[in-house]
Amino acid sequence: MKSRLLVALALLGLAALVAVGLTRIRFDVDILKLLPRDLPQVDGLALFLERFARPNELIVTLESAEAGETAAAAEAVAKMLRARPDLAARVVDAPPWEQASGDAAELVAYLVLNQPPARVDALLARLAPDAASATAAAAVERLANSLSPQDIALAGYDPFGLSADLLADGGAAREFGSEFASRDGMFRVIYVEAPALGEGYRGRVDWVAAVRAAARTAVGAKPVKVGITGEPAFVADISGTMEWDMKSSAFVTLAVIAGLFWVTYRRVRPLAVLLALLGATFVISLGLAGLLLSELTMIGVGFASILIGLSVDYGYLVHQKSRQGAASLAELRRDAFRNVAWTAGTTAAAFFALNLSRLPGLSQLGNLVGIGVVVGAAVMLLVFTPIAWRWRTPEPPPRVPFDRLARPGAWVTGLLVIVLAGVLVVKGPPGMDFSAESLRPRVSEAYTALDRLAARLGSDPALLNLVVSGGEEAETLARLQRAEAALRAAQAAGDVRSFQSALPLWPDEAAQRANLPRLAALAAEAPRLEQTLAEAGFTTEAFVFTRAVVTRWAEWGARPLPIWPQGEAARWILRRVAQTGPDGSAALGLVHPVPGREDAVVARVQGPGTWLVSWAQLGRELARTVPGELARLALGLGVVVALILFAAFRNVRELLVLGLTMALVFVALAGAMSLFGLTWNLFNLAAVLLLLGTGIDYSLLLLLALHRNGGDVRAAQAQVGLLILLCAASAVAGFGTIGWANHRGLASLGITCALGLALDALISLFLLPVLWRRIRPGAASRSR
Amino acid sequence: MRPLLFLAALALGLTAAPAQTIRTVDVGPLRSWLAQQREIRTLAADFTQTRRLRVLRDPVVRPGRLWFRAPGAFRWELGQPAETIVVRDGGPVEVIRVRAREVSRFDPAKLDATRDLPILEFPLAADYEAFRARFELLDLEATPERCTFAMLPRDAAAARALKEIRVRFDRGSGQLLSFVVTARDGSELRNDFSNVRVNEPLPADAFRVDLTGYTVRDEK
Repeated sequence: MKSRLLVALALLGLAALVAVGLTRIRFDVDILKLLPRDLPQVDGLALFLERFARPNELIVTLESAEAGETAAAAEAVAKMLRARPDLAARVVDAPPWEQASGDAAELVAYLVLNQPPARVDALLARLAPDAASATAAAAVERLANSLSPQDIALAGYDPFGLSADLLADGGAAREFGSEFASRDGMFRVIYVEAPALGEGYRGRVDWVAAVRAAARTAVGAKPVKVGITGEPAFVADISGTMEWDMKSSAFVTLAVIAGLFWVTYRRVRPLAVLLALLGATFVISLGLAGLLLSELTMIGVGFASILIGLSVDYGYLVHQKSRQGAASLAELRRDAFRNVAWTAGTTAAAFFALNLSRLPGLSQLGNLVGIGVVVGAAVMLLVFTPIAWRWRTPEPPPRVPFDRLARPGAWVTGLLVIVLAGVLVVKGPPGMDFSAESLRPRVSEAYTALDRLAARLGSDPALLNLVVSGGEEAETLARLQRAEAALRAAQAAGDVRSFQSALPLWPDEAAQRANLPRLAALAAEAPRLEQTLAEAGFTTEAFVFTRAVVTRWAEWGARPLPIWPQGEAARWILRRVAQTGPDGSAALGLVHPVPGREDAVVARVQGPGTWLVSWAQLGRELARTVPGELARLALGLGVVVALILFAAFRNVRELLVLGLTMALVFVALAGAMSLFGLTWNLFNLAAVLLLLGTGIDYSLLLLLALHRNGGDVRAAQAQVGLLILLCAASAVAGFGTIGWANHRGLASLGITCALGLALDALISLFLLPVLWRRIRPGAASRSR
Repeated sequence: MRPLLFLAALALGLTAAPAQTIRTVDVGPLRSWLAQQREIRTLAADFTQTRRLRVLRDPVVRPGRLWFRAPGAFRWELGQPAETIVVRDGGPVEVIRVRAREVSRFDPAKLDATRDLPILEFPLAADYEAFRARFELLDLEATPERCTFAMLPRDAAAARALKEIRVRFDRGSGQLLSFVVTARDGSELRNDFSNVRVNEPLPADAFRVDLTGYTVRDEK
């Protein structure tokens, strides 16, 4: 009675823990969470996304074959969204400075104020009483002779050249294009700011869908393509598919397992219990994992089907043993424990070993499956074993005649391995792809629209983002100045084609303090300056811009420093390049490196609080660091597994049999990957580790059976052959179903593991005995 | 950063305006003229450029000269003696400021019509379809002797900066008579051509300028 109470209490406690854990789980769509944060590229990109990703800004793109049609569609969409405050707090479809020239004057006033004092000296010299007439005459000269539309416009509306130095600085801007329309006008962009959104990703999914629907309604039947991208669109796209991936792969794996069990055993009650226990294993594992982690990454969602595909092995084993003449429940428990402990131990070890990887996504997957495997083994041993014993039936004649299959199976498998090895020789080993491609979802409208936007607005994927951060504004300014100097040196050395840092925009308090009194004093000279222009032949319109700028300086004279511009135009620009807040400040720039010199530029510029990052550069960094690390990890795990196996068998030759079997598996897998055009990437490289830990189970089961049966291969195959096939089929289903996951890396991991496990099962079942006979010819007689 | 680019637009006082709609017109004269343009191997002309700018009280008038040789060699001279020369002989486009003794050299593929140079090409397009791909036809009026058409580049930035470009030609000879560029702020740049000579030999050094003593800058 007392023990029942204790069990009930323990179960209640477990249920409470699981419930708490489950409530903590959230989907995390941040792909950088899958990568090692100690890599500078990951660190810098994470900061870049954190500060500048605009989580509440959606980007609507419109494209057609006619510029006029696209413009009309953009106007209609912007109008419709502006009329829907429930959908858009703000809609921007043209540069703010085109709509409010006062804001533009404020921005120019700020940029001049922020310049080094020496430049302001030169400007003041141009405006001095003895030089202003000559400056105005030079402007007239340019208006008469220049052929450059930009030059004519500036000479006319900024005749004293207040913005001349700024334009000289912005020479590189030519390469960085417009944010609102392609040059041909056939592609347009509208920026939509969200109204207040609720917590969680559901609110974003609904908002994105509503904006998309509104945009499509506004466009109507016109042949204009509507695209939606931006941070909220990514969150909506990826979260939705993550949930679907997890549910669909787990469901299909369960269905495959049910089918296999039914075909093999034709028993309903144990099948129903087994499926229920697999469900319970999944929920308990997820709940327990939820206590340790709160966010499920895109890789983590793959754990459900893998876990089910692996945990069912222990159920099969218990069920099979219950039919193979155990004398009592205790004997069944002992026998099942011996087998399950070995296989679950190596499998869990392999998955937990993923923690040694620096890829947090893989570590999370390893922890989830590792916990799940241990939970699954415990559930099957503690709960399923007595049920299987109670409902045991005598073993019917084997459905798979292994005594007749052994020889042809060995031939066919041997031939398969030879063919795949031949493919490996002819086509070469699978390629390596460490680009950011493996981090992306396979299907995402947001990514498709972003790619199109980048292509049409002329964004160059070779560009590097200069990310500079610091605590106080002054610290960031100092780092910006250091980065600017380093970039100038890199440009002089031929490593950088062009660059733009946020330095001109970042408030320089010292410069402002030196410049402001002198610039503010110009307001008093406005009548003189206007008169000078009139004498040179200008109309009053030519002075409008100059007056607006000097008035702004005069207004700022009474304000505390540093001054930040507040107008719409300035805020629009600053939102993308300068951020300040209680947790520090950050600035963004763009660098166009000379192709092939990216690493040199990064090495020269990167420093404390300064990063040069891009997805392509991240790929290069990962390619340098991750494969070597995974190779070391695989070697370490291989040694550990070898030591465990040596402790179990205490025989070098048997270790050699296992080693050669695994070698054949890896050769065949590499050949199969070459054959199907698969490449190694950041994620499916972990298949090597998982095959070392999971795949070796099949060899282990057969080797143990060979021992039990005195070296009789056919008896061993008859005893565990079906079990190995069932386990392998379930595991292949578990991994195979994540092959359709939307995350490319996860899908490739699933496909590679499924292929590897299928080959492993065949090679263990049919070729291992051949190797065993050759390497241990006397083993049969000694075992007897 | 990007704020620096918008200054030109700002200075022009640009605001988006609804596209004009062309009434139904017979584009036959334009097609014929474009076909005539294809026959031009060389061209030499004098012109008078008149700039009526909103920011200047009085128009600025300058004489100029033009040479063209198919395909793609041209020389525009503004002022007599020349104060600004734009020349190309198959390679980069050079903008020469004679008084300042400075040369800006542009890659033709990267030329920005709203920033660097306006349209200076002959012929405007190989045929009417190519013309439609690059320009929107806003208006066309024809008499038996003359034809005038208004167009706007499809380039989004140029279209935002300009109100229209109006071209006038002689229907019989195909000779260009004038073209007028009107900016959104109402400013106007007009070129009236005279003494047009088609397919006559040009001076050997028509597309070469001695740049000794000049400072040459390659524009990005």
